[in-house]
Amino acid sequence: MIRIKVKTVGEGTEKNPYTVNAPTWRLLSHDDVERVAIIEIPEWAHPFTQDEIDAMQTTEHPEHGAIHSLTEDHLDKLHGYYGDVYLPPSKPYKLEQV
Amino acid sequence: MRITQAPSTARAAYYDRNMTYVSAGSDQQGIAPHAFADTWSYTVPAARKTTVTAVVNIWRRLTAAAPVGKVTAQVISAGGTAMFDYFVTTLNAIDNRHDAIITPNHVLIAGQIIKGNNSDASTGGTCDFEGWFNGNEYDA
Repeated sequence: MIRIKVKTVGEGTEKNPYTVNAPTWRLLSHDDVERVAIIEIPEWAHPFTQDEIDAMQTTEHPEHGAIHSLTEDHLDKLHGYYGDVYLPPSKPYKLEQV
Repeated sequence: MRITQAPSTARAAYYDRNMTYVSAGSDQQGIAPHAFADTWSYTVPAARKTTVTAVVNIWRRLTAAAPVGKVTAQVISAGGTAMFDYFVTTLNAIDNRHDAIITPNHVLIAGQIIKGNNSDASTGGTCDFEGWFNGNEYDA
């Protein structure tokens, strides 16, 4: 399991809700003023080994514990895990960390 | 002359194609009014399929709003290809609730998404929102 702080997209409407551009995640907290969210990606939804997770840089959040920081290589690997198969109107995701 | 055929090999059943159990969802408690926001999302990885075996969508009024506005909670497949549960209410009594536990047996293909989101257009008051799915993910 990894926890990351990311930018949100969307307008907060039913047709365009606040969301994050990540494939599988769970919302821990969201600030719709700052437009950032802290999300959790379960261990079966990412390709990182426990050694890779242990080697990630982290910052401590008062409520949600260790927040991981993904490098560009991590992001490429996460994207590769899900491939490029998307059906309209879905579009390829691009996770943006804060 | 003999004509022989190579023996046919039946494809393994889905539960024998590297099946894993997957689950995603969120359990939010004491949530104040808010604009529409996704709370969880699951995308089927490349070269895999997922059968959605259970969906949960639960709402409970925790504290009353003044005044109440439209509260919405849903579990859908992104793009509207499947709506598993959609709930809209303006109920405002403490412990008013909506409980949906569904066994859809719906197959998602690689790249498809199932997710939950909710909103509350009230002024004041708080609600609990809980949404989950369980599924069997296997080689496509």
